[in-house]
Amino acid sequence: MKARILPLDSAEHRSAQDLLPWFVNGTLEAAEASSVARHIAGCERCQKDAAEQAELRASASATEAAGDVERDWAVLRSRIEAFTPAPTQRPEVTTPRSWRRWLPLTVAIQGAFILALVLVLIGAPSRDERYRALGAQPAAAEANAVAVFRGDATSEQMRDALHAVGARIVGGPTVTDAYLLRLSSPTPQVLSRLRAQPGVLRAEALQEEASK
Amino acid sequence: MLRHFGIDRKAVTSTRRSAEDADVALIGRVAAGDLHAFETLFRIYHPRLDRFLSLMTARRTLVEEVLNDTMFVVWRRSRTYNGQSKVSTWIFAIAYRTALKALRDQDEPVESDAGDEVSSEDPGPEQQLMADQIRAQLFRGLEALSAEQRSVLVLTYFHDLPYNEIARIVDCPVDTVKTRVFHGRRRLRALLQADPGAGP
Repeated sequence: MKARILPLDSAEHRSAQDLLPWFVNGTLEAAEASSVARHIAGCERCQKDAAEQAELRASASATEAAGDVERDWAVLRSRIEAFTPAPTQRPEVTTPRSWRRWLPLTVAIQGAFILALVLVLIGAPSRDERYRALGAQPAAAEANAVAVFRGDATSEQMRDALHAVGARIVGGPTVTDAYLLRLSSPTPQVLSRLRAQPGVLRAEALQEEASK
Repeated sequence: MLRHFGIDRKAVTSTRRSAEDADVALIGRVAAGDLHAFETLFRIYHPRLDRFLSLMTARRTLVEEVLNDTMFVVWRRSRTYNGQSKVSTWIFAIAYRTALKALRDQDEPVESDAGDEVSSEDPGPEQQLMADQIRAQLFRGLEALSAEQRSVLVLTYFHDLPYNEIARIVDCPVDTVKTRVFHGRRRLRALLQADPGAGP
């Protein structure tokens, strides 16, 4: 093919230079790709640039992910389990027509029953005689973080880690060995401090961050 | 000419299309609360997000945190995916925003370990060692760029994304993406040439 001589600052050259990265990664539309290919055939500088970028792409593609997918999935699943409800849509409740006319009467009877119950309870002694187990708190509801400790972490390390950030365990361990925590202030800085504690494998906030 | 660069356009397009269809089917099931579908999606995107975030944040501890936050948002917000962009573009856009926020929140300077990840202490075959050195050098160069410049280069050369998708991910005009890549690679070239660890 006979090479054309093009001034390096021509509009065609500038446009080819802009598109070269995507010519090299193969994502240009057919028309753009053939226009760039035509230009490259006659432009030594673009040929050199394209070869250089192909080399960059080759070294990039040899890079492998270093993360541990199993561990990361376990942590994320714990976070999802701790954060309810799931994103399912609440099924729409439909009331059969025949029941609709009885609805006001049913509600009135329910109301009267509740009122009677309240009156009985007010008259009853105020002592709380119910048996309450030490662990029987509505824990998951007040959790704002989740942590996974290392398998070889001692109870002392776990205690120190919690003290260091003013956290308390309010639930867990879950099936993935994660503990639900209550932090007085679950800021990224506090979570980073918790992660840095010996014995702590992972720690994540239960609130969503950065969603737009 | 594309084949000269080792790219078969038809094969690439066909593979991408079937992957996109699979993604859309999965996200539909995730939106219905299917945790197994979400696990599949997580396993597909974990290596891709890991590579993207490793280079964008250059901090291993931040990668795990941002990846977890990103996929948590995907789980929670799956119903808001409206099909106007590819699922991959939507997920990478969440990852990009989450990573930028995490970088801004870092109030303490942290020693970067991106260069260490690719260097091996075990003496391997000569070729492997050279490739590792080139990658380590490349990572050092990328680290010197701004997060915005670095991310467009990574999405272009490491993830082979088209410019219009990159523009959606980083939420800026296509021309800005082209300019960022142009200046980013010029700066990267200059940094690599000036790197004292560069080979002969």
